[in-house]
Amino acid sequence: MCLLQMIKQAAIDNKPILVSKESSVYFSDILVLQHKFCALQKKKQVACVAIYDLGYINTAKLIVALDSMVETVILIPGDVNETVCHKLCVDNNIDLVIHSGSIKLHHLVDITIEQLYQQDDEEPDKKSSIETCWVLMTSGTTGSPKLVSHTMYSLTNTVKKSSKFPSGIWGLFYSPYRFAGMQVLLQSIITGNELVVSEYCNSLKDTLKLFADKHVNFVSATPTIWRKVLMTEYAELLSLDVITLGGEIVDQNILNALKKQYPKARLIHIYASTEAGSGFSVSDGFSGFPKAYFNNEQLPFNIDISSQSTLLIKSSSQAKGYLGNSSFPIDENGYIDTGDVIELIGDRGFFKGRENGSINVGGLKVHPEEVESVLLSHPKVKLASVSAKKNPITGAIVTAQLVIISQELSNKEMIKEIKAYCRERLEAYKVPALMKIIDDISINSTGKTVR
Amino acid sequence: MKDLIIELFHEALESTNSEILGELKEETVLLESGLDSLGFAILVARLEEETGIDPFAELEEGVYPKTFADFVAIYQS
Repeated sequence: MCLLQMIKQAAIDNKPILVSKESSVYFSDILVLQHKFCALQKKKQVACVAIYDLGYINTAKLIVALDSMVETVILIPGDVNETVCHKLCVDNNIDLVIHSGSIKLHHLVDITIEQLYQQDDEEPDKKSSIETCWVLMTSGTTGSPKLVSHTMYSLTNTVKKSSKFPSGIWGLFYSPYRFAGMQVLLQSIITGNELVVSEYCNSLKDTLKLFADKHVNFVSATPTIWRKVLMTEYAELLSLDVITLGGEIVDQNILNALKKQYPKARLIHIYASTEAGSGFSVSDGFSGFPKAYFNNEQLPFNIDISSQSTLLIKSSSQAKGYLGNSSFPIDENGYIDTGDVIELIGDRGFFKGRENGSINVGGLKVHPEEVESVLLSHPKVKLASVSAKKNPITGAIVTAQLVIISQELSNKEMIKEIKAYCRERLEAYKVPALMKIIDDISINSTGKTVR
Repeated sequence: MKDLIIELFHEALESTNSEILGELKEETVLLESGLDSLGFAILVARLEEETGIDPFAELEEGVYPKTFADFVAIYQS
């Protein structure tokens, strides 16, 4: 069944599906968009589409309208630059790029969302419904994006099971281009609930006011966003029944603080990844997850631990694989290696960070190698080792240990100079917040610095 | 303690290429002071480095300060 059919209850109820500060979207609006796209398809062969850097509302409308209409849709967020976007489209035989109009893509067939709306109307041929391959991007270990391929089934099969969810109005902080945002979008619209998005809101305050005005009672956000929410007086405006957290490691402090601010809300933290799909959720109010999740046949997923202490997971919501030549981290039994290190303490499992050392600063990924190479380009730095330090605000921050070539400056002055040097070459969240000058850095058996 | 917090507050502003919005007063709302969440993360980390104290890790009940006075009080308690 295509996504538009799954949500047709909304047409009967005549309730908006999506709401932003500027507009409301109804079922009929999405139907119009689908008919416009159909008219375009009559004129030219369109099998593979890329949606590039559109706002929440337009992206969400296209996701619903295009399901079962084309073979492949790749969602490319705006933080991917035009050159990379261009290469992705060429490499993956994209027939059409739909974008906002602010870019130029040479030698590619493209259309702006406004031009799409200028098309005629054409009813889709119901018999020719196909299973669309939905492709989401993830930044890989080397910083090059990976294209993860899902079907509407893998994206929605856990959603349908949780239709026992109470009805409500969802508030979304995540972009629909990322897996977490896609999940919230599908969860809310398939269960017939309105989704309020923060598009056109200029600040957190603005978003919270919009959520309060629209009577949002379910909100999904990262722990870092939740900490920011609790640091504003507008936290009190919201009356929440369901709170979900995801995208970063959830600590006990944020769970306790949310429980205190919103005592009647059900707190759910979700473990998901673009590759592993929606994974599992925990709603007992504690960080980590119960050890009882291992080898439990009652649950719709199977989890295990690899020899490197990373979490292995197998479920019907996992991705089909990567597009292109990248090898998918799946073993012969169907388990995906998530790369997330876990430690078992007592009757619970806790997440300890990424096996490849990558650091999650408030939802933004930092690769230590990139920061180390900038540090090493400084004429006074002989050795550099970059690692994560736990942080109560952003979950983690970047720290560095340095070995310095003899110098006249004091350590304090030297650190100041190196920080300024990094700031000119790296985004602020990648610059080590703490630096320590030490005499030597250990090297392991493979010749790499020990982090 | 308050003087150290103010000094490191300005350092964190510099670290995130931000500028203070208005004057830093007791009632200034932290997230409206010009410092973003990364800036706060850096401030808390630098305070721990200088004083050895991370009050957020020690608090049993999760508390997130709203104003500058709330923030200073957490470090003074």
